[in-house]
Amino acid sequence: MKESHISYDGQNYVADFESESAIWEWKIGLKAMRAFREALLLATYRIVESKDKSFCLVIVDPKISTAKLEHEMSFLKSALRPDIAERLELATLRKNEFELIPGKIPPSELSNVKELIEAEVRPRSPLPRADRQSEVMRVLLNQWLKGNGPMTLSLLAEMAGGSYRTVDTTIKKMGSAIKRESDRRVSLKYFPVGYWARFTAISQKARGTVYYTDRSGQPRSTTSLLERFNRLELDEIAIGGVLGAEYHYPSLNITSPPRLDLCIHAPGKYYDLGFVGLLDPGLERINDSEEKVHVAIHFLRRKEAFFAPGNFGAGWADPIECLADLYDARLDEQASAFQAYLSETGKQLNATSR
Amino acid sequence: MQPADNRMEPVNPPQILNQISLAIPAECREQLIVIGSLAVGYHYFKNQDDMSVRTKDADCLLSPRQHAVESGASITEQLIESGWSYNSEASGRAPGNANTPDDELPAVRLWPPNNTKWFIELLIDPDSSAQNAKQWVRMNTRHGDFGLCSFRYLALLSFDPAMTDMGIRVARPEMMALANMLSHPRIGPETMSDGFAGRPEIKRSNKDLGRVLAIAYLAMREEENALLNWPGQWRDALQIIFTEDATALALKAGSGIRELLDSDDDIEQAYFTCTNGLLLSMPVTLEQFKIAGNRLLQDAIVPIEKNGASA
Repeated sequence: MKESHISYDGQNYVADFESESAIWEWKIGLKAMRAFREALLLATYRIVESKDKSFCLVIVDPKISTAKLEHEMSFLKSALRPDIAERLELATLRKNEFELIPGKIPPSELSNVKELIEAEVRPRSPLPRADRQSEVMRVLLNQWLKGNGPMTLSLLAEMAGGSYRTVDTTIKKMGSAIKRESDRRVSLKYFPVGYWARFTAISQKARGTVYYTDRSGQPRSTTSLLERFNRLELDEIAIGGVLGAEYHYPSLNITSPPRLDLCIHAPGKYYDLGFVGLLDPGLERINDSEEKVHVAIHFLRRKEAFFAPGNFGAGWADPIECLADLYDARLDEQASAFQAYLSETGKQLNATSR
Repeated sequence: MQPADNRMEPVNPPQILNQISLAIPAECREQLIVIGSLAVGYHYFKNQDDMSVRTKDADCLLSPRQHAVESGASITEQLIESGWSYNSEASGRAPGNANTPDDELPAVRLWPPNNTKWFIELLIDPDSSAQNAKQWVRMNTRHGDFGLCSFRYLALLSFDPAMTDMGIRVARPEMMALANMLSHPRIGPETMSDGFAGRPEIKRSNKDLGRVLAIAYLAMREEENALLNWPGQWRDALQIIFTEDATALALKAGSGIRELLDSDDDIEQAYFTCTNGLLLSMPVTLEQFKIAGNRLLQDAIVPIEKNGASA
């Protein structure tokens, strides 16, 4: 959470946080006294620049004892001008509890800072192993729906984030739905209904889907969750589900979205789902698919996200993800209609593009 | 008529407000602002006859201050002369006289005729935004001298109160929430002198901060995003009432709620007071109560702490 912009020595300095009474900077896992001395020295520069505010240096989970840090700090303060020294504050935070609390800082500011630091050091969750074969199929479908024509296996492998061998295996499994060019490039001939049906049966696992339900007794509407999501400005998460499907297929026959489906572009192995608590503290992750789902999160592990620009987050998830979301939400009637629309659209686009 | 013991009975807020409005002099109605659980109950349950809250006091703030003592005396005299009763034993002391020091004067606590369920208590707007300590203002009546109590954050309760169709006003729930939050920046050790709903050793902070969570719960029940409007309303009130102190107050507003949510024992006490008070008519679990608190933190407290009292 970089908020404050202060320049000194001709450089742009961005504090970790700026509150009413202080400029804050935190150092996480500091190991050496030398690094601490450097941080203190830079802090004194910033005090001079800030004119009236205190500067609070928070040392988070340091490998150095708090007593040693305090000693070093007081030694430096004895060498500083009093008006500078009195504005230099030190705090230590171990295991998310303040051990050393700066004297002049109000408790509410400390809580705020603690939350910000916690969000920064929160361990990220490992993602389940990516299902590359389904990613290959979904890339092929997206290319087909755009009328992009055939592509090489190596390009397909790159876009899906899989190996050449995975691509080869997948297109063999897709059988007659695949059209092979003489130069070995491939594309879809039609919407691969059978392969798609097999995918939807395992899509929860294939997409690493996680579900959240409301525990507040006052569930927030999908619209409210969407507005809150929008305020988070997360640029790697797109809107899918009913909302996304309506974007791609405005004739979708549904009155209101029963849940919020989010599609996270996560080509890496980890992702922090801490943002869900910011959508609503009343949401709890569940494993029981029979419970009412209020938020569903799906992971897109391939290299290319194919998100469409929109007003929310990273925009709209691609139509194939949205279709998978509808089946996942058991909106079979709407999903069938959307699938028929996509199938027809792809057929027309590819007929005219050749 | 002897007043009731300290057990609280379920009461219907609109009925009580109507009774108060009809009993007091018509010219004083606009100077009376109902605060506390009756005001919250009226705000959220006014169209629901089957909803009740459990309380034993109808706290009423006299505002504006310049007319408060005069209005308070008229109200007190008319109520007593129409059969409302003052009970020296229950109130701890008899009405004072010219020799009684201000801080030994009894509060006005009057029970309606033939009713031992609840009593009306009169309070007064604080002297200025700088008033820090609790103050007692002498009110001379034909029935003796009484004290009108005031404390700093009562000023928030007279900020833009809502007019009822009965002619008296009710404090805004979000202002009552803010006043309670500012009154308890920490969970203090002070306990309720009479316990609460039969349970001894209830901390006053837990009761008052619990009410903040109950108000948040009820506000979201009415409109799911209601709490998002609170920081703006709080800022307006803080700036107008406390001017120079507004930012400092905004920054410390949430510390007590955080402490409450971090303590299993304290939140359980707060939950107990609410399910036996404001939330009497609805089944709310402890988990749901805590979630209301966390939503309050997220939607209202963090934004006002982050931006202080600046718009």
